[in-house]
Amino acid sequence: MFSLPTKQQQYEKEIKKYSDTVAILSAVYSILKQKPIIAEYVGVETRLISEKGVPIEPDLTALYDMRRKGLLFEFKWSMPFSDAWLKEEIESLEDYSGQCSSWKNSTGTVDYHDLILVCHMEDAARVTETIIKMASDSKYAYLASDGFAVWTWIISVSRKGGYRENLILTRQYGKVRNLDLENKTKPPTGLVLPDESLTYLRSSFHFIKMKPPVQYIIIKLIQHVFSQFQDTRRGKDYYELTTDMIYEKSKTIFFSWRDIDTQTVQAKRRWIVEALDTMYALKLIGKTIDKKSWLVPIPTLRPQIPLQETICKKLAKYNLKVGTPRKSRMRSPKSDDTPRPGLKTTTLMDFK
Amino acid sequence: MSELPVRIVDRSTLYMHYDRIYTLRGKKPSLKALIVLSDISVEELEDCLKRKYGLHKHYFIKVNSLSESLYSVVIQRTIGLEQIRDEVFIDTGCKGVWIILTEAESYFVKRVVESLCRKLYPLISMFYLNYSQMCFLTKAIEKTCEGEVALTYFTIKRFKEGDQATEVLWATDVDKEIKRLLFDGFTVKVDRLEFKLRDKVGALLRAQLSRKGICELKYGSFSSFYENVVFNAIEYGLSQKKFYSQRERSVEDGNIQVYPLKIDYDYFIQQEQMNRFIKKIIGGYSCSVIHSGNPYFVADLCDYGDGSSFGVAILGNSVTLTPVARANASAVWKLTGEIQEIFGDGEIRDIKME
Repeated sequence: MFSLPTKQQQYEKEIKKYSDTVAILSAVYSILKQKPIIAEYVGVETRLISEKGVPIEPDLTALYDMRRKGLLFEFKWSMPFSDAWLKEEIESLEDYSGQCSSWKNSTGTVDYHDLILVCHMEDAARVTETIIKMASDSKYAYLASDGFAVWTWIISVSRKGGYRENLILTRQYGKVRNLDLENKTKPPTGLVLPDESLTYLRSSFHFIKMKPPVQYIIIKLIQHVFSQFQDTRRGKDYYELTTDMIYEKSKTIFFSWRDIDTQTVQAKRRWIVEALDTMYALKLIGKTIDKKSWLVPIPTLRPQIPLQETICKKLAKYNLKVGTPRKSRMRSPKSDDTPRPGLKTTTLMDFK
Repeated sequence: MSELPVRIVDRSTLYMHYDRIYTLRGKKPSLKALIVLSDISVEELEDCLKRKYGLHKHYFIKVNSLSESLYSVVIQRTIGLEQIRDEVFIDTGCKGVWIILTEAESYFVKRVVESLCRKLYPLISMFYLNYSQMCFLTKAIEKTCEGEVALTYFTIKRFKEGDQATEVLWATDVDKEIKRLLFDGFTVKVDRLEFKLRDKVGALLRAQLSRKGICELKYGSFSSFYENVVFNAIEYGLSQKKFYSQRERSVEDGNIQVYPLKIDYDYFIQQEQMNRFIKKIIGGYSCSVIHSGNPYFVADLCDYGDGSSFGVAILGNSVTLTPVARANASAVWKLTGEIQEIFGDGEIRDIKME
């Protein structure tokens, strides 16, 4: 049983881990966009078809060598602690290892592609250890072959003229066949990412494909979504908002980096619904009398301490008191469960 | 025989009144021209006060329209058991800008007028000028008046941990003195500067510029002050508004565009300054901190007043602001001002995305 401060710290750490992983994705995205010599950026969550005919959507896709070779990047902000689940997570990469089709080039195929798994530094050693064990089994030969690599990153401090941090991407395991990338990420120096990776690029993306912790979404909703509804003449007030309205405004930060050539959407509507349900359970927002809309105070909170501390403390308290919130306890307003006429539901298939 | 005081009923009597008062010898409070940005009408002020939660309990406003775009406004504030009341004139001749004129004491301006403007944000937003911007503005004034501007002194605020003080620095030594203070580890911000202006027709005036956009006429021709100092400040303010506008994160052809800007300093920002930043910024912004400064600092901020949201990163000697979902120009400008209140005056630069 965790104590309240431990649970709170754990929740805060999750926010940091997720946010840093998004920053790494933004940095790699930026490098691919700006330095097509290494590889040519193709897209975020571009849909490819695996050898087994299953659609896959790697976080980032790039092509190089006259668009005949490919690179797939998968970003994981957290990996399971249980050995069995970790193994399962690594096994799921198999779909990315075989020959894929639907590449954005003239033939739709590439000679070969490499898969790079980018892990948080706290998980990297554990992941590598498990991969090494698994790779000895011929069933997982793809983990031992060239073209599969695990990268991680550190924020290092240098003292040139004062303290100064650098974000460094480094290879932890395996090898990629793109020589430029391979040489640049070689330990111990690794690839020193440009300063903007630590500054404004962090604000270009807010999500990776992997589901964030709920407290992360709550903070994004409070700071970047609800605030968009604020009427400057009305000032502080309670606003009646439906899930659809919130979802629409969320697109600015949640869905805008979807690849223009695919129907893929990045963040999931259900993430928002889950976050709203949790906020309701935490009594941060209410519901209208007909239960059709949320009653959202904007500004939602005015804590005298950083917002993440307040949210994580409330969440930790709640979870310690009642356990993980139950569905029945946190039901969304009814109207949002029924699809509206004319609303395209095909892109939301994976939100059910 | 002394002249009868002029009753201000329109723009010409306003000019006549102030021209007369400030060219006469004698001790009097300076004329303050507080320049603010606002798209509302002055007549809406009373309504705004009622709508803003709790504000009407402390403030009373009576608006009287004098002539086109000129208003006389009586403002009263109750502070504890004390009531302060005085009259101001508001000139809204320039679209989107109010010039609030008063010859009341500084105490009234600070505790009543400024405080009301801050509380009515974002309906009214103030100017935020730093050292280099104030210097730039004096140069612009010199250029347009085709005369001569001589800086006399600067009032600066310096602070280091518990040590906080206000100093007056003579214009000739200001750069050297600021460098010395920075070298000694002080955070420095220039609060106001005083200058003498002699325009092309030889009219002399003594005026001040403050970091909050208040132009003060100490002595001299009001007409010259208004045309050369106030109008230049407005022009500069509007150019700043343009600089800070349209910075929301957007998606163009499937690519994400952000429009960040940064404030550069001559020194590395220290942990103590970052702690102070969190403590102070939290009053006006929702602040979620990702890295609290080791010394790298990253946080997301949301302005309680108007809902604009930002990513803020402090790395080495610069602070980077990246507007996110909503970013009104006045909110971006205000945040740069708030940051410089804490870290001292820096150089604001646009970051051009490649």
